Amino acid sequence: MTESSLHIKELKAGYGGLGVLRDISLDVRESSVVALIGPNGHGKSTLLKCISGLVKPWSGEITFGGQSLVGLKPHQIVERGVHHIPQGDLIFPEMSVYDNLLMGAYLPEAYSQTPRRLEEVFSLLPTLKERQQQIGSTLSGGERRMLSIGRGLMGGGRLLMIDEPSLGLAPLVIDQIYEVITRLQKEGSTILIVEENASRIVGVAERVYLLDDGKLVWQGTPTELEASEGVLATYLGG
Amino acid sequence: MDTATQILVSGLTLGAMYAISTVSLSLVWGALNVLNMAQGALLTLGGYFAYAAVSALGFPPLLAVLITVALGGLVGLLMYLAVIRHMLDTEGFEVNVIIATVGIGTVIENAMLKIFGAYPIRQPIMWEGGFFIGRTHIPYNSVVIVLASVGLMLILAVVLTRTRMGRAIRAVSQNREAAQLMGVPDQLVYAQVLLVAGALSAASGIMLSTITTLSPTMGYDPMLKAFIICVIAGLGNIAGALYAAFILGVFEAVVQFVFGVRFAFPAMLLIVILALIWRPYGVFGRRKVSRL
Repeated sequence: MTESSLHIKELKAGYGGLGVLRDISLDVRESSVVALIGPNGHGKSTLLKCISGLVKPWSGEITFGGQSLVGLKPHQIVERGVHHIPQGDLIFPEMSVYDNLLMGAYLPEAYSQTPRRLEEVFSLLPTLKERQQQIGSTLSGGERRMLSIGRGLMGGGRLLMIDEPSLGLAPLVIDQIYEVITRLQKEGSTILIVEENASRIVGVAERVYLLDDGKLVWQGTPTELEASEGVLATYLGG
Repeated sequence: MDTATQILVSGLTLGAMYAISTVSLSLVWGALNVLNMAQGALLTLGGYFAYAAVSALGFPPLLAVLITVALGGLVGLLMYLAVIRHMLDTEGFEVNVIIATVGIGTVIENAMLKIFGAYPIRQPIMWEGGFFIGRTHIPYNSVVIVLASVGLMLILAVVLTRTRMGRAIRAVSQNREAAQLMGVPDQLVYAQVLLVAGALSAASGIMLSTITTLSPTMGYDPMLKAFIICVIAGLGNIAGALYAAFILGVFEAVVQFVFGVRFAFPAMLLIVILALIWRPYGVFGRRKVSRL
């Protein structure tokens, strides 16, 4: 298996003249789950967008499996096995649920695996199976989120970046999603998740990075995070 | 009865021709947010290409049509590679690209004027003769136009809904960022869309030239009508464009017969005004379209 560790060094990025990320350095070891937490609007999504090529970094390095991702186009980054499940409902509104899922397996390598992956996604998110023929825009918010995640799983990426897997979903579904994350990690995927809810990542993530105002202010294991009440109180309000 | 048949046949023929041209316009708008003002010139180019292939180069008509459609695709692709590609993601793109395509259209039209002259020329490619339903004469040419148009639309529908390439085109039209995250190379999709649009325009141009005559400005009027149909259907809405094209084709034929030819265009504009008041996102539109 090709190496699938992610390394970020002194990354700076922003929109227009406004800096959002300031000197971010972080490492995601191969076959591990790393969580990125922190208050809203402090650059977590921007960091993922830098990695997937949607936002161009101002400076710094991003390497995946030893190769630099900086300057590549988003589709070239996906081809290297980095899959980004964005926040919100970036689904294809006028396509059926089924076609949305097929788009997740757009790359030839993933396309040949379509039947098997569809089965996996349907067993994980049975709602999607029931609603296969429904048009994306008619789904509820939670269903769109499920579709977005299901679509992301269709690609079989080596590094999966999930922006807020639990946002807008029922607790039971969140549990299922986290089960899948754990299973994927055991099967060898590397996973980077952005999470608001710090308690969710205990027992899942190997390492936690806390991002505040565009800077990494704390890192450690989830257990250490739970133990350090100061960090939780200061940045996450409890 | 005979009059009704006559109106229907002429309306459907117009509709078939508009449909292809409108779908081409709508496809480009949907995927790239480019309002292609060179559309009319592409129609003209298609008509003259086919004429030249038959009369100057001596190709058999069917071969000439195929070559013309292929060349139309090539011109569309060139438009993308030489001009549009360099403007993507620049400031003021949506307005600047309109001006750029007006420029391309002007160059093409004037090239046709220079090469073929200003006098109308009869298109040699057409199915002569016809048959009668009751006492109504139905030209074979109309039948061929309707069948070819429906055939092309069916092929397009299959490509867009059943193939990997077609799904990628729809994905980019609906959510460019999400499509990129699925690994779709957006630049390749844009190139494909312009190629398909160029080919469809050339086909529509040949049809047009068989029911009117060849002239350097012949594409102007159908382009305006394609815009009208797009506005009514909702820009970027391909299925809607298809329905609207046939409905408006028949509507135009009815108005021409009942009130006179000169009222057809104002009547269509009236419909646009009503559509913009009643459903500004298009009669068949589901979502809001961006405004320039």
